[in-house]
Amino acid sequence: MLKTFFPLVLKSIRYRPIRSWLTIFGIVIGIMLVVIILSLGNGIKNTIKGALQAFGSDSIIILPGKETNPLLGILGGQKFKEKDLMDLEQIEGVKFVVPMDYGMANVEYRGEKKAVLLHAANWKNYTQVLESFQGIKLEEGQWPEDEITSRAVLGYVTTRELFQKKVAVGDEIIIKSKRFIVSGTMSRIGEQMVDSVIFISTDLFRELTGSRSGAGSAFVKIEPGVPIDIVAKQIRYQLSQQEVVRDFTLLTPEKAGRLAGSVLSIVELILIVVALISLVVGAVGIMNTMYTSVLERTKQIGVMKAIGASNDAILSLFLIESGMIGIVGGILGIIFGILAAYIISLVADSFGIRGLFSFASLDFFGFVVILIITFITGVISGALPARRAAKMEPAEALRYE
Amino acid sequence: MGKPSRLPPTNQSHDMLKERAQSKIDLVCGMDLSEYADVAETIRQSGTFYFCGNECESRFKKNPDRFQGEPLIKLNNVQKFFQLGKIETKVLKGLDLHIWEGDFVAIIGPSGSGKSTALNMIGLLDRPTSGRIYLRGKDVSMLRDDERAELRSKTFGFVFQQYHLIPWLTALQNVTLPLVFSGKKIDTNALNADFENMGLKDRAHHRPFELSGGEQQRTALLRAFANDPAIILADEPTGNLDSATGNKILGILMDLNKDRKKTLVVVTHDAGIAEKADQIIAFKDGHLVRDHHAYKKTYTE
Repeated sequence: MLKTFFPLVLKSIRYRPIRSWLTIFGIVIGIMLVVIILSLGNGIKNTIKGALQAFGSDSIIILPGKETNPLLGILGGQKFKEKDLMDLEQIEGVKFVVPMDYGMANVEYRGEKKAVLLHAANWKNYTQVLESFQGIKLEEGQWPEDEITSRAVLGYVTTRELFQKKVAVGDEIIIKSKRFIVSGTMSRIGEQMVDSVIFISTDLFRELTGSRSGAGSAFVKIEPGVPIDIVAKQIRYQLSQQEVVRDFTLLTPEKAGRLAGSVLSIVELILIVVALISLVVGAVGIMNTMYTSVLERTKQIGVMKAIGASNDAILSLFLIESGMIGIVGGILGIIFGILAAYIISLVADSFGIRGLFSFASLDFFGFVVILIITFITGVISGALPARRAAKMEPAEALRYE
Repeated sequence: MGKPSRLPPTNQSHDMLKERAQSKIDLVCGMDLSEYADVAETIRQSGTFYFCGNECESRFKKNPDRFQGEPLIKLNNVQKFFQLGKIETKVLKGLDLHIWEGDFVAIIGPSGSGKSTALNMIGLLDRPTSGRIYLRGKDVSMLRDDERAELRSKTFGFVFQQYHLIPWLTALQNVTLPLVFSGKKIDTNALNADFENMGLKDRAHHRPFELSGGEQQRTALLRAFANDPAIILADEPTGNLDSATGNKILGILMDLNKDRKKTLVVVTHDAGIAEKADQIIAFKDGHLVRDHHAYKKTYTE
């Protein structure tokens, strides 16, 4: 029966191409969203996790602000005393502590002025931290050898895109009216916080900003083989003794992962809800189309019944039609979804976020499930009008204008 | 099922005998003459027979045994009401009608007299509000939908005034449609031969909107014949065609009636068609009218 009905249904779908394609389009949008989320979800998760874990599995970052929202602390501009942070080096298992600071400043290069995030730390330890734990390499030039010569290291993006001309090693830039020589430029990391900044020493940063002996955050390196949890507890205890910054957060690799996970699951949840809503919209679309197209074909239904079609035959014709519309929508949705995910990952790549999407990580089982769902959605949405059509008396249907 | 069931066959024939004994039924056309006083009567060995008019009487006399048997189709007190909003329109008001196997029957009558509705009842396209419809002595008025679909598929072939071809299918596909629904094998060679005989050889793969009215109606004829039905029902088959084309269509239908003994029931306004029929049935206001042949001119254009 299916074999003989199939061509009939195809003809009937192709007889009203615009209506059919619009219905299919409605489903495509819903499925596309689901597929984009499915194909990028893992990539996004890994990227965020990777970004947060980039500082290494034996490191702790200390940030001001409550644990529930550490970012607020940084923006709030609370600063630790440098001494309190350096005292942490006395804790057993701590290899060294690098206090860090951030601040925006105007930077001038060849008469062009731009606001740039300055990233300040002592070169002595920070060079080590950067080189060994984050995989940062200098592309050109070298790290400054002392803390007082006016030298700066530029991030990858800062070098290339901030100013109209590419900045070269040895060039002179002016940060807040003080001349600096570019001593090195960094290779690409893929993170805004590192790629789009200018690194200078803490001493010079304080001189520029006028702030005394504060530190926005700190990087703690743990001795290898020491349990990070215990060290973290001791750091927490010792830091709670100081009174400058009440609330602070210790960002351990594990916590960073958890944070990324929870942020991502919220994002994922929202996207899935959006996708489900659009799927429902698609289903209503099929229902609407099937309803009007059944109404439109009432006369033909009468004819088909008059020449011997049973109720079941009419029902089958319409269910095959709506099921097919569902499945075609599903297939196109998956194809366009993968395509869109790929394009999004290309765009993200050009912004330095890599590895969002890979064909290898596509979930083909998920796609099969999607196809089954769209098929069933199609059949169910078609069932109501189709049943109505099938039950009509042929004479009544033939009279329909 | 769950529908009011058919009467058991024994009761049914018993009822019929009683009915026949009490009322005056014209066996030829099926008209109930009980309410009429001046009815033509013929008394024979097998009983007294009543006739609505001369034509029915002369048909009976030519072949009395035939008309004492079971008609192919019998409508018994069939009523059909349509509900249009709050207004109920009574289209058929207790219709009695006999159609005999192999006859070419022309149904005539003014617009709105219930001709087409009666044809729909005969062809099981609609359910009567009340009354019985018998096909070869079997009550088919209360059959389930699927049983009626099967009868429509195998026993009836329909031809409509507006051709009613499926617009998205080619002529050939339209003709194969009844075969698809009856689950029969599609013999492409035979179908091609049929198209050639019908003079539609080059049109088989065209869609309805590419065909002339005559070509569409010829395709519709092929579709009606596809399952080789015993009864062809045509609702004003030439109504939308010029007279030459209409005559051609009618010729095909009549050949089928004469050569292959198919029963042909045609609803028509055309005096020419009515003239050629074996039996004329005249409708007025949801009933048969007496002396059908007298209305041949009145109810046709």
